[in-house]
Amino acid sequence: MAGIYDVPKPRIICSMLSQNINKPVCFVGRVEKVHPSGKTFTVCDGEGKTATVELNDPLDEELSGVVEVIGMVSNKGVIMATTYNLLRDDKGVPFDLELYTEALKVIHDFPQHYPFQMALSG
Amino acid sequence: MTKLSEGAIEALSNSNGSNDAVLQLVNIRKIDGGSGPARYRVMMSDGVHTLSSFMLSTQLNFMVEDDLLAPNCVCILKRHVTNILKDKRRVVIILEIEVVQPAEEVAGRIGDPTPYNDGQTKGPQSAPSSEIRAPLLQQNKKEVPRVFNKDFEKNNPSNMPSTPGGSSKVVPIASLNPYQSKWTVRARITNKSGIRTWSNSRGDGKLFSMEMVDESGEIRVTGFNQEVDKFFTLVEVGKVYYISKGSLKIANKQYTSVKNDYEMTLSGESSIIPCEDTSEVPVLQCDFVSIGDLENREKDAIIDVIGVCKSVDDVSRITTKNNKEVSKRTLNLMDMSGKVVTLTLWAEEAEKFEGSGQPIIAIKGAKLSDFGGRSLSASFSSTMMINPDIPEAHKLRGWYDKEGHAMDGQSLTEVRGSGGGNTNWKTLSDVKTEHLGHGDKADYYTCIATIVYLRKENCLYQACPSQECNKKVVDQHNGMFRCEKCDKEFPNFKYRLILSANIADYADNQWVTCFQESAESILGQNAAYLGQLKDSNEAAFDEIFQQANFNTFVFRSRVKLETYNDESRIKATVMEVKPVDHLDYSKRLIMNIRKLAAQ
Repeated sequence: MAGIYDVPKPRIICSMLSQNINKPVCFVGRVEKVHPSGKTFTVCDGEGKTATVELNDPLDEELSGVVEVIGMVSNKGVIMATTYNLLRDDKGVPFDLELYTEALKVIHDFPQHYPFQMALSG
Repeated sequence: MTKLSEGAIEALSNSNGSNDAVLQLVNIRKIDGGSGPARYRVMMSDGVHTLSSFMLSTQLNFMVEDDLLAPNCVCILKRHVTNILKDKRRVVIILEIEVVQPAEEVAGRIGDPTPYNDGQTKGPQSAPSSEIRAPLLQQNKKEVPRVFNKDFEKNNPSNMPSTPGGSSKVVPIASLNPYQSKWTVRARITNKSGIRTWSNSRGDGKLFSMEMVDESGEIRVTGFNQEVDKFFTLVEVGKVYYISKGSLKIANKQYTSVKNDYEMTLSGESSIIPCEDTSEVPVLQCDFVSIGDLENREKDAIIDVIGVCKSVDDVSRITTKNNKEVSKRTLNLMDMSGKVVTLTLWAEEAEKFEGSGQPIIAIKGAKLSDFGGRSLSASFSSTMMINPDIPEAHKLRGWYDKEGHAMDGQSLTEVRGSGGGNTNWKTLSDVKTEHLGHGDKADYYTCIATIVYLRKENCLYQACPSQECNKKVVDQHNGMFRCEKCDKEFPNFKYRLILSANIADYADNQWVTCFQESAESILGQNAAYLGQLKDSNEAAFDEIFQQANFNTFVFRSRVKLETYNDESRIKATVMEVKPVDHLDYSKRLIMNIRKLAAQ
């Protein structure tokens, strides 16, 4: 299998986890609780639903705010993260997770106009 | 099979028929002649007798026109009034009727009715007729010994008593017609105009008009000259009066939204007497049109609208065509259709309006204009109520507080010129396909577009250095610069920008002209610095233009068809350049996508 960086990773929200089991995904959510072990944390999507993210290595930084996670969805619907990226405020404008979720739904509702599955996404 | 109220015809022709009689409609005939609305004469049967002297009141004409009332249908006569003509014949005017069985569900004529002979009755005075057979009738006769409508009486016990003067009975407004003179109506004045005067070749005069309402309907009343002196000060809006001896004529619908085919003119004999007991008389009758339906209405229609006052603009003063200065104020009204329309108030009403707390506004008799899409304007005959105590208002308030406040109402009115929260978003192809700027007035629109070309040549000019002038100066070649407008020479000038740019969006492109501030926003440098650079460092000057290419902005532009030397073309001038607010832009795109998908 090609590395996760080389394959399309559809952007999803919690309600789409079950359709993406064993597939690479990109998930953007607000960090809620970080487990004391630092190896797992929960994220809340723009609809207010929560997902769990598991890391290979414990966190080496404080995690808060909006985070973009790339990883595989396990059988239990946990996102096994390969990497993550904190989305910091853009010139004082905070990331609008709700608006992001609305845009994401548009992409999923009209796949004919957003053929991202075909291309390599970054 | 529906049972008809046997004996009801006889009772009706004796003027003591009850309401709620079940009758079969035998025949319906349009009466020709005369101007004004059509009148329908109806023949009814109770299974025993038929009677052809029924008239449909004109507000029920739609029932015939929509084929609700057709021969053989069975109906309940809900409300009626019996009029006695001069020759003692009786006419039963149907005020309210309900079809209980449509014609197509009825096999045919029920029973074998014979025409009821008017001659059988012994005139109106001999009311307790010996021929009365039906038990139904006997009951009713005790209850209603008068030529009157039972329902009306029951609902309005206070309505019946002695009318002042005692000469005529209180009748509902809906039953008024030009063929009757002895009547009194008890009605509330809902609107009163000021006194207006006229002067023409036939003389001078003055008039006032008012609108009044009772539970059956409404009517417009006009008084001239002496009647103005007699009644104008007496009548107060909101109060209830007994009115009698007015003359009725066909209404001129051009100036009013009052729903009555007739209107009343006061005469020397007319009387208007205050009525103390007013509880039963409704406050105002409105036939509210949904804001969402306004687009389907004709221009200049007079209509009633109720809406939440979402926002209010400040009062402004404008000068009318005849050079009068007048105050105006615009409000944005939204109703449950989710649409917003602008209502303009004038003069005193504009100055006094207090719109805090998003009140419910009901306006009766507003004029629909097609200015900038659709908008409403109050006129001298409009009545505006703030937070009226009517069911529609409470319903609307409940809806607005629960969900409506969160809606981003879509406005039917395009905001022109500067200011206003609504922006006329267009794509550049919309600007062309919709022929913006081709009208008498310039059009304004806002678009998101990218700079694809900037014309460096002649983008700077030497302008008069005096403040507020900006006129191009002529280089005298002696170190002085002359401004024709100021008629002065200056030892210096200031550089100003006039930049031609080609902007593009996904569908089209357009040449636009950007002046000083907007050009500075695009180039990211001020005019003075650019002028200096142009004279000293052309490479750096070019670099600024290169850097400015392919940047995306929000442009607010003005377009107008202009003609030079018999050649017409659209001239677009940028009024304002702003950076793109991506959050706002994304929201609008998502909204548009959802809207398109829903179509």
